[in-house]
Amino acid sequence: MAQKTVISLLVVTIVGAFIIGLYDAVRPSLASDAAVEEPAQVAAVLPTATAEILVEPLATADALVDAAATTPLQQSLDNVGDTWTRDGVITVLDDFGMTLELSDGSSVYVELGPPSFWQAQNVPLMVDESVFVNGFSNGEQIHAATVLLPDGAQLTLRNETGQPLWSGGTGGGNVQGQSEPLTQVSPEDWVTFSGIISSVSNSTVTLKTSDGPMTVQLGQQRFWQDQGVTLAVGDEISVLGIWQSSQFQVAEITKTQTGERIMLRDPNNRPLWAGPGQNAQGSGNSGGQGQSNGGQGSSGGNGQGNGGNGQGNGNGYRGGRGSN
Amino acid sequence: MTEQLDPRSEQITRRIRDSIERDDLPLSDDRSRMRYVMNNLVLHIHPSKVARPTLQFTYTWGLGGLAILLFTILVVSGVMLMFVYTPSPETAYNDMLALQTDVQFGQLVRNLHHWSGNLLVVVAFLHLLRVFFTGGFHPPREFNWVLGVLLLLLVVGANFTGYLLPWDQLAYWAVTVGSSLLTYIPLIGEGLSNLILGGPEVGAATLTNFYGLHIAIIPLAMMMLISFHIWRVRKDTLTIPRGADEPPADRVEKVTTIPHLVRIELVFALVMIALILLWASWVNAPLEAAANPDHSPNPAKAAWYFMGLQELLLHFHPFFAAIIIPGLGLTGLMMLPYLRFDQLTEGIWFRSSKGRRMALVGALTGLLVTPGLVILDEYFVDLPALLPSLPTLISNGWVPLAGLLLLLVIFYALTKRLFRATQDEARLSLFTLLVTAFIVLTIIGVAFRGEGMALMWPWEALA
Ligand code: HEM
Repeated sequence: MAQKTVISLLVVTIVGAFIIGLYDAVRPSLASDAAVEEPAQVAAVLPTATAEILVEPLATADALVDAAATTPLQQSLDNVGDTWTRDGVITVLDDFGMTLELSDGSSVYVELGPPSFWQAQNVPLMVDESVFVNGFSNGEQIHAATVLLPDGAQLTLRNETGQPLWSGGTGGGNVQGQSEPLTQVSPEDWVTFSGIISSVSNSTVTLKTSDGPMTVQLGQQRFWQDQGVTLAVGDEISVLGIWQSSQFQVAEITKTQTGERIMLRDPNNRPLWAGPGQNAQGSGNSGGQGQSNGGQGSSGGNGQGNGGNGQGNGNGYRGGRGSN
Repeated sequence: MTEQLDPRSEQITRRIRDSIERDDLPLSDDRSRMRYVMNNLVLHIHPSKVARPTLQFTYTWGLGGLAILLFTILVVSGVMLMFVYTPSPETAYNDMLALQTDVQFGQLVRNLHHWSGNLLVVVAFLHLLRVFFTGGFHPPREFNWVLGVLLLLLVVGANFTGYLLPWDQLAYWAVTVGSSLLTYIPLIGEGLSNLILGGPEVGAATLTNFYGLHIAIIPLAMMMLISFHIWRVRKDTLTIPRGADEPPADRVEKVTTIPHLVRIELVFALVMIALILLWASWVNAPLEAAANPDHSPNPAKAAWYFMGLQELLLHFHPFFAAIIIPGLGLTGLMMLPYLRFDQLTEGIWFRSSKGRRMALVGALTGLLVTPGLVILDEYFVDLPALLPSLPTLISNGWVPLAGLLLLLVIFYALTKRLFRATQDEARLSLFTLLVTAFIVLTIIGVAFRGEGMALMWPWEALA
């Protein structure tokens, strides 16, 4: 009797999960995708513009983190800091940046952005090579805008204002006006938590904050893991996101110690792993190739047009991933 | 006059000797032999006679005895360590360095303590397996099995609390990771963690707490439980080994404990002491950089015996990985001797000749399926993404657990149907499967998890 009850419970669970899974898969609009739906439809009409709007406010990733509760996202461009121009010799190179030994003997760490973006430019950096860096320093971090190699090759990472080109280009002034109908989330809704990771799985990370433990969803596993940032128990991180009913949705995770970031959602809280949206599928499905073009193109510096021509409404992140 | 008042020998050396050893060495007649035996301390631990078949080394493998030996080494070397060690974050690490460089034989004492402690975890676990596979938990020994499980928990607890004391990076982060598991206990988790750590995170208070537990509370509890455990073994006597499918013997030959059993124990103990000393002379206990709460190693791993659990955390919602699954496992382990059995199998390795095959079936299944499931979950299946409308507690907790339990039920039913196994044999197979799975998970966690706990293939792990 007891045995049968237990077994029935197990069977019911599995069958139930299967049915719910199917239902989730076919249901046209999920709660969390509600925000996705609309921009996607607009995208069909106005591919280029939409792409930029979706992406623009993410521009400075630092911005998101600092934009706790009250700071409007767009404001924080100045966070990249003042221009910083030096030459030096690469002593250590990793996926997200390099350590430079400057002529005065000091060493600095220069951030290069997502590996999927800069490595796709086919400008190989090497240890012991001397390079010329044009970038920004805010006193804490140094972000490279361009890295010039002795042979004349150049990595282009940010534009003159410090905006990362991998985020899909520089939004023009026109963005402001148009973003109105699309924005589902107002900047005040964004909140930041920080704490120490107490456990990580493929799809969740639990951190100890000063208010107790908190578990956040990382969304699609491959998407965040492909960004190359590892999360380990004991890391201090800050997460930026919003509360949707009682669920906390994360847009971005930053590792405090290294400054590395995992981007999960755009400023409209649209999941980046959801891709370009239904209507853009046709142009996007040429796969890695087409998407990586998006990344490449933007490295050329014409962030403006690129979003549109690389892929339906490529948003930079997809471009980055595709080229990986 | 003196002779009447004081009947003792005239030689002082003889008087001293007689005060310790009251009777002469065993004489040839049975009676005086028995008297010698009765008056001996050894017999407060052992019965005066034991069944000859139990002397067979390949029955117990001396594992229970080895556990006692290791515990003794741990107490002796541990007390020595206390002479140089102060449990405070300022001094602990430097004390370890001083111990290793300035103190005569300091490194050796530390090595002995470290390796014996780790070996004890392994030995206690193997002893559990020996008792399980020879059916040693059957009545009247059920409660001694439960005492054994408690002892195993104490062994792990002693090891875990000791892990922190050197206050190096390994210690600090392993304990941070390990104790974070506690916070997943509903309602009281946070409070419990605060109580044990002496605050929200590992710090000075944790060190004093762990020190107290490690040097006083846990060893005392272990001493009491070990005495209880051994006393029960003496009262219940050891199970009598017999061959597969052999009926229990009506009469077993009995021999006096001294010298037959004590001789074996002494030789075994000396050999083991020699081996442990040799190992401890050559292999140093690890000591990493001083603890740095601001910088965690990547990956931050728990102690090796918790890596099975840490591996589960990568696949299940933490509440299930840290609380439900270990809780189910422990409850099952404790309740095991209280399940009804359908065969009298005590004393037979693996229950019967079919049981032997069933154990193999269980072990092989565990060996193949566990890595398969790990890889499946790591790369192919993302339940929370497939079931976005369910909370992860369900989608990544109850659903996969229910799936696994269902597989186990099916496995159990299949062993009965396919191999016509008895209930006991099927249970044995299932137990073997679970133990194998746990060992495989531990190995994956220890050896095949790299930076960020990412899965590495064997060739990457070796590189
Ligand atoms: C510090 C840990 C332990 C110590 C020092 C210890 C010691 C011993 C000793 C000396 C024996 C005599 C037979 C032999 O050597 O195998 C014994 C038997 C036994 N032990 Fe343990 N033990 C420990 C842990 C455990 C554990 C973890 C279990 C199981 C959960 C367990 C269950 C039993 C049972 C049921 C017997 C009787 C077996 C039989 O009659 O065949 N013990 N133990």
